[in-house]
Amino acid sequence: MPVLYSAKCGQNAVLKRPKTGDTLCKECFYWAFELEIHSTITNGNLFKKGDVVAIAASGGKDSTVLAQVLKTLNERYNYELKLVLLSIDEGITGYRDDSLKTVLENKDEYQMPLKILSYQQLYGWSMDKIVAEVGRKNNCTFCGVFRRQALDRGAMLLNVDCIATGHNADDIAETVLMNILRGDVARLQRCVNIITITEGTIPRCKPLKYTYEKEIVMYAYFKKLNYFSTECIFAPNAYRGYARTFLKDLERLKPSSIMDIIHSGETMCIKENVKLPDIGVCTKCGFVSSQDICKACILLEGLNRGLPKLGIGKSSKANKALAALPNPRLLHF
Amino acid sequence: MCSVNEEGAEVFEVLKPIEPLELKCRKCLIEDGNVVLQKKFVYCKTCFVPMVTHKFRATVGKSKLVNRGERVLVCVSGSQSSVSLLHMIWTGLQQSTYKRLTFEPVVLYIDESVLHDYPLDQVKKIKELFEKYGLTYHIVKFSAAVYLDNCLNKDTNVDQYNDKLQNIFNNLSDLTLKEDMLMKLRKRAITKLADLLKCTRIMTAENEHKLSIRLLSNVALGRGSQISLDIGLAVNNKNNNNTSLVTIRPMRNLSAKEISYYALFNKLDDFMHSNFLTATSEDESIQKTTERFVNDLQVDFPSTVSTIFRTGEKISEKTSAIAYCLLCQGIMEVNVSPSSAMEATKYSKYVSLMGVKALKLSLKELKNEETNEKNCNGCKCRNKQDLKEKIIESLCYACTHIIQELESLDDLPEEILNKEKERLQFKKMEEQIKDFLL
Amino acid sequence: MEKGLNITTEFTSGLQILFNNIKKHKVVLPETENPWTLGMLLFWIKDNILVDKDKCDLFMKGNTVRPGIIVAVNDQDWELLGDLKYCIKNNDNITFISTLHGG
Repeated sequence: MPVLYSAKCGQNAVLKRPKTGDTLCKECFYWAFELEIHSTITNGNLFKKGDVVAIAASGGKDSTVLAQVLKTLNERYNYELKLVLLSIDEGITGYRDDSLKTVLENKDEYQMPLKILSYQQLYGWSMDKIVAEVGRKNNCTFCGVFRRQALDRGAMLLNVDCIATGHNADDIAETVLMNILRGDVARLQRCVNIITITEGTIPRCKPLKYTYEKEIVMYAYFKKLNYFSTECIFAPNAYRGYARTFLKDLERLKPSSIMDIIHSGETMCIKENVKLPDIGVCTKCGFVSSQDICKACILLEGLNRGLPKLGIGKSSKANKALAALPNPRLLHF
Repeated sequence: MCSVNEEGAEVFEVLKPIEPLELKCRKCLIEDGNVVLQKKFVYCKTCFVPMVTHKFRATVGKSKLVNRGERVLVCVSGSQSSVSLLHMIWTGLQQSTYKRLTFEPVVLYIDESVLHDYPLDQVKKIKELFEKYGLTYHIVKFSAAVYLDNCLNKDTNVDQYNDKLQNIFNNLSDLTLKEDMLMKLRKRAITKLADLLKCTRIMTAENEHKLSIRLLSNVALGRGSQISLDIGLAVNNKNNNNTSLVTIRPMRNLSAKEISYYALFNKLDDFMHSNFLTATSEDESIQKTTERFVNDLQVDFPSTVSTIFRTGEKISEKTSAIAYCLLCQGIMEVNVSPSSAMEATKYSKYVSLMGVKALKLSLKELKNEETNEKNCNGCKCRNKQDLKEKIIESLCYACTHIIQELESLDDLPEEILNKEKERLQFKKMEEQIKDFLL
Repeated sequence: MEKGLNITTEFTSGLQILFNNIKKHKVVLPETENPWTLGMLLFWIKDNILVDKDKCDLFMKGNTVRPGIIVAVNDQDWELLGDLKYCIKNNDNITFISTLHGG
């Protein structure tokens, strides 16, 4: 039943919550939004008092809202966290320059220290150069792999206890669907975890796990938060687009679908007899990897040798190809 | 933020240009091909039929799913898959000694004409089909199967039960929930009939395509924990007598195309009828949206259906305690962790309603506040609300959505309501003696 | 002078609902300059025997059949014959089978 006036606070309603359909006034919406994230954080035991938390800041709406909310809750409920912003510069002219500007504004607004790491610094290659080398088809693979490692390396440099990413409910539901479609059961199990801990890396958590994307946009809109909202200028992965469209169709039909999918993901697990890859370390750079040589090293090797296809596709093929190369060089970071 | 998942976006399945096909059958190499499977395998009619039959026999024969002489309830809905299943079983029974199928089939057709429009003489035609095969068969009305304990008695008047059934579905305006409820009631009816007819196995004719769609629909409905139940090869049913009753899906490895051509080559008539989803737009139900999504994706990425299916085979439920839903008899979530989608959803609802007040209250206090609000001068609806809330404790996540939409629980089958009352009684008794239990 | 093409079209597994519940239709295709292809036949079916034009997208999508519908000519998969480009011959039997479940 729709609540005509905002939940008993007497004020006029100005919006309808995408998540529950209730009509609320601005203040009640802020409370609801922030309270829910607070409950997600406390129920999930995401942080301990005194933790240093790096917020993965891209300048986009998710990370901007995350920074704002974490700062607010940290003060309101005395989490006693030290918050820092961590941003990765992929080296995409135009796109990245603008989003980094937003991150710098965030730093000033929220009074948080900021660390920026670039692909150029870490790997010797910016995305602009990578795309010039490999073209536009597989560039997203490079970016995705490099970004993950970049965040981990940055977090280690800053000596943080945890990385908080801005993944929202829509992202997680979409990932569940994607992993079913690609048959990736290993990732399927992990992607719904609110905290992901891998041996040898810093734990990551998703405080916005149960927050709908639409509500994030609403919050940012009403609170007049600055964020950068253009898609990457290099063509994004086309397959994910299908899953996203499907998810949006489901959400339009039944808004609770997003939570239903996450619920399904949480109650599924792999059968006992299914084989999973083991986690070890990369023999070249020492980073965690399920293969002998981690994906980033393979991709880099390919770039440095002018073999842009090395590492695209199945890892076993990549390993064979690497082994077949004469005089494999040592990579330095 | 970039939409690429930071765990590494892989480029998927780049479509290769289609090579010109060999026109001869790949098996006998002599005949011209009649069918192409997965855009590359060509078969002639004569080789195709045994190939498909062999897949069926291999699935049935696997790990002794059915023992010699066992009574198997074969559920025929009139779809292409089920008439093909019937034909394959019949063919299997005609074989010479060592190849012959050794179980005893009991064919079942559930007449759902109370809910859907049937073409003229549909039930008569089904009867003729069954007579032609000469196997034992039963044609039972849906409402009788749902409400009556002994629905095989042909003389009982089912009008009142027809009304009840129609009431339930008229009450559910949401098409998704309607379709979901129909599937669950159908499952209950089949399980009941299997017991009545003393069958220890049930065979249903879902093919790979249907099961892939069902998997995704289940995920979208919040039935992720019930996937292995709904698409598995051999699933143990929870039934009242604790005797073993296993549902088998022998056609699950067959693609929709294989079944269509099997039916075509054997000139099998199908008996489809319209259902709740017929002629509705895809945007009105989750099931149909999912079907369209899978079909469209399959066009550009031909291994979509089989990948989804194979993923399903690796998934099972994540529960330590086992409880079963009162309505669908599927796995139920117990001991839900506070960090979960279920709890987050509940919290959202309360927080939205309470607004600023929720800031100060804990979840329990919020719950009390809400029940106080629902007081409505002690009229009957308070009791109905109570029973609904109690019954929800025995339901799984998705069935809760269904029951919450129902105005009144009166039209539900007796056994569900009785079971709930029984459970509540036991709970009360336990409360009374709990201090004395060691 | 050639007469029009005599063919039969069949609609099974639920598709017949769109065609007055009649599964088999005997059809005479009028003469045209260009030979009749399956692609052209689809549009002809839509215009001439499909009962409810609003339900057209239950049968066709764009210029081909809706995904999930299988087409066989004389018991042969149309993928072996060139899909929409196959030229229809006299006395051909063209069957449309639906693998869709939601009606």
